[in-house]
Amino acid sequence: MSLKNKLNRLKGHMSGLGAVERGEKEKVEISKTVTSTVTDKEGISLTLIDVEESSVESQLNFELFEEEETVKSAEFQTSRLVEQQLVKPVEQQTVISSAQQLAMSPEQQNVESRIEQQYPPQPATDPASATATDIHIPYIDKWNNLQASPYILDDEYIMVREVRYPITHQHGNYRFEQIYEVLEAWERAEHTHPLASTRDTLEKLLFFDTETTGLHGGTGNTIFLLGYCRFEGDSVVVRQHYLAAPHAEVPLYNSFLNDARDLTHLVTYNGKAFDWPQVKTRHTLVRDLVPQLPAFGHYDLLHGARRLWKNELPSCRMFIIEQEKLGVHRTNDVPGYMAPELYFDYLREKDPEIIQGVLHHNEMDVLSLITLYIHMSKLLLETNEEQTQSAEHSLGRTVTDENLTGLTSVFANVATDMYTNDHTGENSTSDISDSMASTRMNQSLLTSPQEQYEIARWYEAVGQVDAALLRYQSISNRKSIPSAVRGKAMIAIGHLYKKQKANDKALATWEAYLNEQDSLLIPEDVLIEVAKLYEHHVKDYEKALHYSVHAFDIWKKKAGMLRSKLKSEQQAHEKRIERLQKKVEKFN
Amino acid sequence: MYTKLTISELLDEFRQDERMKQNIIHWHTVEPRQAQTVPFPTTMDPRICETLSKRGISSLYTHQETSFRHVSEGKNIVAVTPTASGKSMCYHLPVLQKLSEDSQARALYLFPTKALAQDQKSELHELITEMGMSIKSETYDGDTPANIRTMVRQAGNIVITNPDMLHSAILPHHTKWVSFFEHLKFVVIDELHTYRGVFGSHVANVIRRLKRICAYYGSNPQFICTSATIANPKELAEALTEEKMELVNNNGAPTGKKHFIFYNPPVVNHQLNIRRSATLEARDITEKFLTNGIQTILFARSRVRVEILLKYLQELIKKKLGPKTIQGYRGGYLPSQRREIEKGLRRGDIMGVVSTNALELGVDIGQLQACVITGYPGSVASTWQQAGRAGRRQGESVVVMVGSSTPLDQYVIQHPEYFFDRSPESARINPDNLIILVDHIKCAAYELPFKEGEHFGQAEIVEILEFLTEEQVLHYAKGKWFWMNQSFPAHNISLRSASQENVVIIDITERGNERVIGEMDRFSSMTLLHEEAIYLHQGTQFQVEKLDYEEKKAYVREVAVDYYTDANLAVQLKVLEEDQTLTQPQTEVAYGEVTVNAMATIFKKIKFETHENIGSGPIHLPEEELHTNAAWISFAESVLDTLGKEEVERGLVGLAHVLQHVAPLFVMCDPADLHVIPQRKAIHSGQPTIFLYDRYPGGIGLSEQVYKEMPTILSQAERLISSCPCGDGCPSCVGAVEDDSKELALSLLRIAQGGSMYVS
Repeated sequence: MSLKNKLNRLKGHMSGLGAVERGEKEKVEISKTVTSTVTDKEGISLTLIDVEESSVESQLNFELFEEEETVKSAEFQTSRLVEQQLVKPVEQQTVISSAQQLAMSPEQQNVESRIEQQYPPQPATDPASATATDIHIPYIDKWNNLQASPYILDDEYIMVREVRYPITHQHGNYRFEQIYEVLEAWERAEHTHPLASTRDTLEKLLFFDTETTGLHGGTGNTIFLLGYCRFEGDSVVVRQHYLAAPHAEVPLYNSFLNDARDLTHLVTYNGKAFDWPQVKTRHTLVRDLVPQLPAFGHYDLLHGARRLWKNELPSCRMFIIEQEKLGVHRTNDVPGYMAPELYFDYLREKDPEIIQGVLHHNEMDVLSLITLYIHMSKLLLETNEEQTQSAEHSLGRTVTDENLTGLTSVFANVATDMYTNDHTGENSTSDISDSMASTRMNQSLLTSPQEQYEIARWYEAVGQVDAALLRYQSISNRKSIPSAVRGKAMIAIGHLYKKQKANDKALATWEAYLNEQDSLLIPEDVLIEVAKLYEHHVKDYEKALHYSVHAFDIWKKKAGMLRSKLKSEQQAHEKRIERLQKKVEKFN
Repeated sequence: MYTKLTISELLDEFRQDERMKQNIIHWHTVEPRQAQTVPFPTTMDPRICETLSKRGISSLYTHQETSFRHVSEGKNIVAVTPTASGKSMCYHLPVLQKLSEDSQARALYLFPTKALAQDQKSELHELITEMGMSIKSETYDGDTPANIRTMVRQAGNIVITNPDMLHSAILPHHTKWVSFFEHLKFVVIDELHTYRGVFGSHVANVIRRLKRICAYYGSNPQFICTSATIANPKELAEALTEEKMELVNNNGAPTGKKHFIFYNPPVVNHQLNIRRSATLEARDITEKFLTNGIQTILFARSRVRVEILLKYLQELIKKKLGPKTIQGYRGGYLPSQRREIEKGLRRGDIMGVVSTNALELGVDIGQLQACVITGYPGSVASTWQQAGRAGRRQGESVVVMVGSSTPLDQYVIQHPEYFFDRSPESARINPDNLIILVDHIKCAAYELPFKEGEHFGQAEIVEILEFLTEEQVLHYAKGKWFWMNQSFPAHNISLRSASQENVVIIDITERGNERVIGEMDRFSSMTLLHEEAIYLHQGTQFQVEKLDYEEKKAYVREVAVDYYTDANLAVQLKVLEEDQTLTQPQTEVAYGEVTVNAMATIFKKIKFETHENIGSGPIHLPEEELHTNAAWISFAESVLDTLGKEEVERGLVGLAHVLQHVAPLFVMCDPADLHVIPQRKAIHSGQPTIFLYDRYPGGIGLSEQVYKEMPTILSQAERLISSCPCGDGCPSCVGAVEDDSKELALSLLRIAQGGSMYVS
């Protein structure tokens, strides 16, 4: 049998394999969500030190080795399912079934033109177009309609698309120019934070995102779109470098790196783990023919988003953040996971209409990075007075302490979430919730207690103890805040005091906490901490014993509920109680 | 007072003891061998010489010196030496020499398993520390922490890993290893003999990819291979690396006197010719060694046997030595636990170890004095490797092989000359197997685009590239084939047949302290971890409370019972589709798709010591299905009448046995890659049939080759049987040692070849 025939026979095998591959991928993706708080360890000068994110989880199944980190965000994949279930299921499915049609759908063109009417992007200047005649570029007119023009180097071309927005343009809840407010506020702020930046650096920030041919990091995963936006004078410029043929990576990186030469900082979403390592990978293959990669500072906003909203949102995928937090609502968006297939189609057909939707998706992505940066900065910069004011203001209308007393912490958390999401549920009428939403829109500044707590933790994690303490205190001082969140804040305050060796303050905070919490919900380690302070600091052994016994009681109840009894823990409890009993006897 | 006997005293006792005397069928003595040494090569770096001198080494064994010389002349070598002959110095010395001259140089060490890699790491670290050179050597595998990985990639002079890691983690990410590949001088392949059959064919392609990446970064590394004794080491090394090799086989290491005893358990029931259980005999012999303070390894054929023997021995020895001095060792223990056991053996804290063939490979456990093998391991090479675990450079050592009652074991035990005169098996690979090749071309294209005119080893690739382009996996433009697919191909291609899916075993005895105590491949879990099974781990009994087959978790609880469990596995082969057929007057040869279904049906509870059946229960687990390709040969039902039903069955079994050995020769695979099953009444046709199927999901092209080569294979099989000097059959031909099975197999073969029953 000839090789040809054999190969044809293989086809069956291949298609079978394809199914396996797809199945496999699903699996990888799902498992990834669980274990992927991993960051790129060798990422360029990481200005963000993100303690939590750098833990690498070891996997039991060691034989199959993920070459670490670089999976296009964890969240991104699972959320696909979640999203389909939760958000606009119908639309999503149409998208899947007819991607190509969508890319050219009249509906979408309507959207485009609507945007143009409102904010006509200024036409791109194009130095390369003069030479464009030397080389045949299929569908050049269509490209021009997309505001893209060729960049040519040694008989190879790529397309560069440029769209300008005035800085007064509103994307989601903010206008781009509001970035000045937050940068000024960062300059004034008493506390530093990894997200902090200055007005001087604004034009050197690159809000950056890529589109690739695959989800896994690895040499063969080609970046076909390097997209970014940046502030230039009174515009925000979106520039997209598009790989029009796989052999044109030399012009692609030349074009991009020449453009990005004077930039110092990247702002990305999961760029530390995925985009930038992948840029480094592909750059390595052409490194002798293109400029070096600059050493960027890097703000990866995914890390912050996870800190703030991990417990609140079904996933921290950009799409969800946009909807829930930024007020960005995409219409007819081509979902990111379709990008590879559309690109493969483009390579066969060369018609830019095929890829148009992907370009638009990427444009929205990079613009939303600006909005997200502004929003996150605002949350972080919000002062105590503002918080107090706004929180009291809105809490009066929605959830009160009465509603919460007697509820378990679980319910309290749910209540908090409901509150945060404006889903006021049975506690308020719909017009109240509407008015509240509008209040929030106008103020654009209303952190939920849960967010305030997470922000405080963030400051604590980056070593800004004072900033953290202030925020924790602002939560604990407001009796109107749900007790579950207040309790967490008070525990944290106690720990901070203890670290500062302010034992009296720590004890006072914790005792105050103990007095107002439902005893069932008290974590026993707080009781143990209190017992320790009484034993070693105050030397009041009776009280120490009292708290130790209380801790043991709670532990026993909880252990019963969770059906888990750790011997070592039990022994520690018993030992402490025994020791204290002796001390009590001795000193009485 | 009981005094401990030395090994030679104990052996004398064996010779005199009446019972032992009767059961020892054969006593083979290997005389001690003097060391053959040569002075250090003058070119060897003084720091290396000094380090060796400090260790009391003042010269090299001949094979070490030859290796050093060949490598410094730029040649690729394959060194074949027995265990404990200072084999690793064959590569350490030339690599360290190069590093002493060029601190930028890099070397890649490949070991078939992570355990072996760990061993070599510690050995190498010691050597490097003593030399005082700044050489960075580190393992790179699934257990390596992320921060160390970065260091290894950027600065590791010696990177120690396994082929799977190279395949799925290093090559697909070669851009992170630029300086490594630019300066790669050596590729060391230890345990070369393990790269055989389908696994070897995969690895050969991984090496083609490695060489391609090296060429891209401008390096051209030398290959240094070491191998246990096989028939064709040079041929295998050349097929695997596609480089010309020098064979180094002038072993100069000394060995002490070694006794090789063939032991047959006594007949306990003369009427039924039943022998005492080999397990119990092996236990008793091992106990004799252990109570005399002789460090012993006991090999058992299965995991369950290992645990049962371990339990017995721990009971027996507990009072005299303490239970921790004897340990089990098998696949399924956690890596950390294995490392502990290996260390304990080297230090001598552990007196005895009961192992499966997991310890056949060169894991460093030092050299033991005694080795007891329960049952013939199945191949000559395997037997010698297990036997190689006992043996010291000085002093005596002993190997006892205890035969079980299977015909194969009985044959080997009763015909020692068969074993001692036979050369070990050959290792074969076929890197150009189409399915394997296509898989690796995908991986290679992912790593770098293929250029027009580019070579991939000796394989023909243009048509494959065009095929993959048609399939829209590759994209052709400007004379290059680019990877244009979303997948990460290496993740979907496993180099090994065994599924990577493991069932995790969780001990839930202590609430709140649930812990993972081991793991097991899914297929074995059907018979060993079904609900109510007694799972033995390090001699402790656990009962399986729940097997979550979907989630691949088995929950076990510690128990103390006086039985173990044994499950039945029903295997069924069904023809799905007949793709090609060749009809002859009395037979039909065909090729097509089949499914092989395995289902655990019932389990029995078997009492310790007496081995009586004390109960049973059903197993409710889904069927495991292997969908693959098969070639088969069917005989007309009329042969049942002419030859007789029983006779046909015996003939089929015999013929299947021959084909199991002959067919792999013609399709260049390992016997383990191709399964042969005889059926007196095949399900699809009702005819007597012999099936040969690929042991890989989806098939891997082996049985298709068998179909095409069938006439040759059959005539070779006939020649093999007729020229075998045995009387009524032996393991080299028809296997079973029963009356007339040789003649019956020959008759079937003649029919299959279109002749009549008796005349060829």
